[in-house]
Amino acid sequence: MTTPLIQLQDITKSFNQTLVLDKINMVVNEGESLAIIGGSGAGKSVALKIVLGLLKADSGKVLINGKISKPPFDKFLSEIGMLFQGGALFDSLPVWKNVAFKLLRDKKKYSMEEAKHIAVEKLARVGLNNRVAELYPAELSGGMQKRVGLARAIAANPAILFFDEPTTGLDPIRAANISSLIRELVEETSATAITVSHDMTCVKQIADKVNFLNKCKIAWSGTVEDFESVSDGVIYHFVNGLPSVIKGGLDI
Amino acid sequence: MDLVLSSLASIGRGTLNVFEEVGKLTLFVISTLGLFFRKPFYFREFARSVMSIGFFSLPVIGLTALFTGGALALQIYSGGSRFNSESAVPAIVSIGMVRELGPVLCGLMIAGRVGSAIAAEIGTMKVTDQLDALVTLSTNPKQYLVIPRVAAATLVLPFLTGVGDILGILGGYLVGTLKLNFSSQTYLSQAVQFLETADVVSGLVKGAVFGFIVAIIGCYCGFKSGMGARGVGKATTQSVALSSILIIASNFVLTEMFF
Ligand SMILES: Nc1ncnc2c1ncn2[C@@H]1O[C@H](COP(=O)(O)OP(=O)(O)O)[C@@H](O)[C@H]1O
Ligand SMILES: [Mg+2]
Repeated sequence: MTTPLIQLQDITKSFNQTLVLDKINMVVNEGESLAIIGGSGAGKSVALKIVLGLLKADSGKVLINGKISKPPFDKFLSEIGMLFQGGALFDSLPVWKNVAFKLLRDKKKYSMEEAKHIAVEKLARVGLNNRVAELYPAELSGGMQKRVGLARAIAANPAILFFDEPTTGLDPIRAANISSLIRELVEETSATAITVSHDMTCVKQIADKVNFLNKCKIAWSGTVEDFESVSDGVIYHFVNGLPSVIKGGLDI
Repeated sequence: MDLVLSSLASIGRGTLNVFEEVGKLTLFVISTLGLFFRKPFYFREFARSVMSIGFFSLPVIGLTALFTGGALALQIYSGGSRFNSESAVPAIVSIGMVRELGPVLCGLMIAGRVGSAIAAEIGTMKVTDQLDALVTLSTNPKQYLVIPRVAAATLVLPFLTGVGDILGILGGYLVGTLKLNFSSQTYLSQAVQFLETADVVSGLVKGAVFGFIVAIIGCYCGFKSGMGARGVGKATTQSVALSSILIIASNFVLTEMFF
């Protein structure tokens, strides 16, 4: 057996005595596209932030390539790209500098022109022309901001990609566009991808494997096809978007 | 009995909270100071801060100092005339401005204008995940956001203080010559004659300290901002209150030191 790329062992996290994650375990193998799904407030983003070292778990371990991940996370972070739920673009910088942000950190490797060239290229890859490159994030629509966020995530050709709710807040057509774009990018770069979402349509398009987070636990894990064919209980409700889930009443 | 216990408990809790806050702030300052000597230095952010703190504060500081200098001249005249010391107006106005009012007014104005803006900007960045985004882009948020702002404010405030001093003295001059019947020449020579280098230096040092306080408190409040628009609003208000108090308090300590 090969060592998993990322492994969560008995991760527990609570905020002000409210338990969010209760001893969850998760395995991500190299080259896999995994989705963490669950209702909103289930703790998906928290799980992601723990993997990235942005939040500290109360107990449990995160293993990267079989080794315990502890601060500083510089090396791991240099190999990842992340798309944030709201885009998280820097307002004070024009779009192209947002995209080239990581490249511009490394002045020895890329000159300003090279970095800009790559940024424009990546923007084109996500369907934005070079007029957009000079605009500021506040001048873009939500869908365009997501695309810029996506371009920024892939700018430095990371080996691991993280997507937090890539389709939330977009209309169905734009959501489908972003999902298929993500799928293409992941396949193109043969990156390992972890997607957090509560949008089943998006998950079907992007991921091969699913971890279903419910009531602070991984309630189910397996392939997307198997997940869709679960015929009862909360998963059935979730997959088919039935009201009990939409209202957040996730009882099995 | 219960009442006594519960009120003691709330006093205790309040005290602990204060200590906790002081502790957190101290840790924040120490960890920031450590980053000052680490590369890279984000020059673009620094330049942007110099512009927004320095250049764009000039009108506010200038007007405040001008009017305060004028009012000061009137007050000192009214006080001085009670024991025939009207002639001391120019000297006292300039010493008062340079040693005390210039830096303090400058610090307080900057706390309101710049400290709040820093707290709001960083707080907004926090609630919109931009701070986390910086980390995932291999950038230390404190190094990227705090160091340039603190460096800019500490360097720029002495200049602003100097401008405030000059305009304050000008305010006194205008009132003195136009209303209090000083001759232009007497006023100016009196205003400068009694001013010592130590007065000027102590005022500028105060300015630098206040600049440091405003920027670091703005950053601190922004970084610990709560979630949502409310959290950012609260962080902004807190930054102004906290930095104003610290400016007034440290002004006393500094005055005592230079006395
Ligand atoms: N920084 C934080 N402080 C306090 N509570 C938090 C914080 N981050 C997340 N939470 C709480 O943890 C729970 C899970 O949040 P999150 O992971 O964002 O949910 P989602 O599955 O929608 O991404 C929520 O109840 C949220 O209120
Ligand atoms: Mg989330």
